[in-house]
Amino acid sequence: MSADVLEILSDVQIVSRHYYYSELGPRWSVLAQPEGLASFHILSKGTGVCRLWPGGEQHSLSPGGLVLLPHGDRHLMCDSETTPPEPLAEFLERTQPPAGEVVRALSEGQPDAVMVCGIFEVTGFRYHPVFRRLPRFIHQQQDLKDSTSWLRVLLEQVETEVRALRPGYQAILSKLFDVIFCQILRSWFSQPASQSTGWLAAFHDPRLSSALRLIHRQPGEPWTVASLANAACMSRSQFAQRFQEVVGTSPVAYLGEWRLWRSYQALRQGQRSLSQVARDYGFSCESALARAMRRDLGLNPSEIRRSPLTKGLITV
Amino acid sequence: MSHLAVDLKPGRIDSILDQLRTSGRTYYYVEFASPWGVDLAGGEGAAFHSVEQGKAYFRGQDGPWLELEKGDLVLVGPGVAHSLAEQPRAHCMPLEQLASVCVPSPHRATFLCGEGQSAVATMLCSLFDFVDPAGRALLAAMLGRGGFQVFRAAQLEVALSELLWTIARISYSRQSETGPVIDRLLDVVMRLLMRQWLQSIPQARLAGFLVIQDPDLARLLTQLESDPFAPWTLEKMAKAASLSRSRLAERFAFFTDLSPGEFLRMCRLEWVFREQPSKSKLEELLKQANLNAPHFIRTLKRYQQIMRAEV
Repeated sequence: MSADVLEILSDVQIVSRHYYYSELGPRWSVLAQPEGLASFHILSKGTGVCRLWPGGEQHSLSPGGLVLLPHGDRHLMCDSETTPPEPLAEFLERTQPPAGEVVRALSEGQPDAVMVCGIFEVTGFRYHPVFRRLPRFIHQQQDLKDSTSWLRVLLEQVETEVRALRPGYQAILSKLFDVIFCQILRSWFSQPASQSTGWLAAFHDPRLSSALRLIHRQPGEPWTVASLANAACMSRSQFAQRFQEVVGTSPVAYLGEWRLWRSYQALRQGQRSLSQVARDYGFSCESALARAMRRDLGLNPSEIRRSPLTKGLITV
Repeated sequence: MSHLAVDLKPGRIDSILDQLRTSGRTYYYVEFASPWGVDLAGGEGAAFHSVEQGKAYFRGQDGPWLELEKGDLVLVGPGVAHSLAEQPRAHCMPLEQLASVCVPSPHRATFLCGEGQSAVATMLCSLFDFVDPAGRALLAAMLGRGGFQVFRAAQLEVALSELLWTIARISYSRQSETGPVIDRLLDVVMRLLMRQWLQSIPQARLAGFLVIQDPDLARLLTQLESDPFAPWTLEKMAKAASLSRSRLAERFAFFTDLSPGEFLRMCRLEWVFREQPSKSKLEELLKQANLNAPHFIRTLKRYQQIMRAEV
């Protein structure tokens, strides 16, 4: 299974990121609306609450607590529900980070809470058949007192860079935040909760996994439910039912999503023509691909090609 | 004369470090049992070896054996054959041969073992390349003519040691799906090493690394470095970079804060500072370049003062 998860994690192509190291006073409450961007928050000191806004799932955070919001939902980070919320833009304007990304919102003396936050634009995150199925809210708790904690090592390094602001700190911080983001995703994929249903659960199922692998590795083949069922050594109806139960969608719909994702990636890379991409990923013609993109992604192929993000793409 | 001491804009070091994006990485968390020795042919990629436990000896291409202790790190450039062993002049077997008697891990990190029963040295090794040619060029500049550099544990930033230890621990634990995480950690390690080195060299030398970011200017730089005292003109430099004169000037201003002429002078001063040609040879070069010798030598003396002060 690991090769498949590695392949998926390797699809994480970060194109831009903002990061904040915030030293906070006794009362703080920030309302963030990352507008479709993935974001994470890690509390390294103090306590706080993170919840979807307005009203929704919430988690209390203590040192080592982290939340990842993969789909850019609006959310509140605060010391307590009683503190009036302040929009992120106003918070940043008020605190005026002196070094671009370092936020100090202190009354006096030592901070009551320290929070490390990252906001990421990841290529096609919302179109990816696996990432689009991530929950709206991922919460993890790490033990920062554990000397072997990966998070402790990374947070200490972030703090060192932020405090020293030595030349080159932005290049180093940006990469450290990439590591943290990727590690949160990896940790989540390795948790039992993520493996009970969905794509990972399908990879735990020896029969479904062989069909899934064929879809991932040869998306351009003219697969049918019958041929995939045959690869899974199941009857057509059993396979279709089991796939729907575990993955949450039909085999044909999943195949369509995967083909669209690969087509999206190929167009972003800009090295193949639309007709070539359509042929490579199992669409009958370029207009069929264009129609599918408009219908399912809400994008024209030309919009994907024109996207300014291709240059400077950070690929694993 | 204003640019003899380069005053870099904030973010210039960031732009250099941003080019260090590694690719094609392979990791080995290796436990060596006595007696052991391994030869690594100079492949296309670079390599690093970090001693986690015990000690080891390293030899670059036909060079002397150097002792590596716990926490030391050696970085080796592409194409540089090298050896690692328990003792100087120990029998070394090719990596491919050693690999054939090792226990492979199901994950990306691989556990290897020597001939004995218990490990006497533990090392984290990685083979890698860079996404951009500029990354390779930067590494070559950092490693110098020998093609490798040893970083002693005491010289390394604490963070670097901790990150190397984290990579080793993740490799050793054989947790699944760690490849993308370790790959990114390696990028951090490379950036920290490069920054440490950039901060140890004279500021004036940094200008040369800034032009590597642009493929056209990098092509020109190669030609300037191979023959800095050719009678270069703005037209010839623009032609070598396949750019118009105005575009050339724009690019230099964007990447280095210098004009093409100022950059050429920096290359020439740097070459003389580094190569230390004889007086007659220098006079010959200045004549070849149509330069005013007394003026150049006065400038050179100031440049040498600045460089020595920074070093």
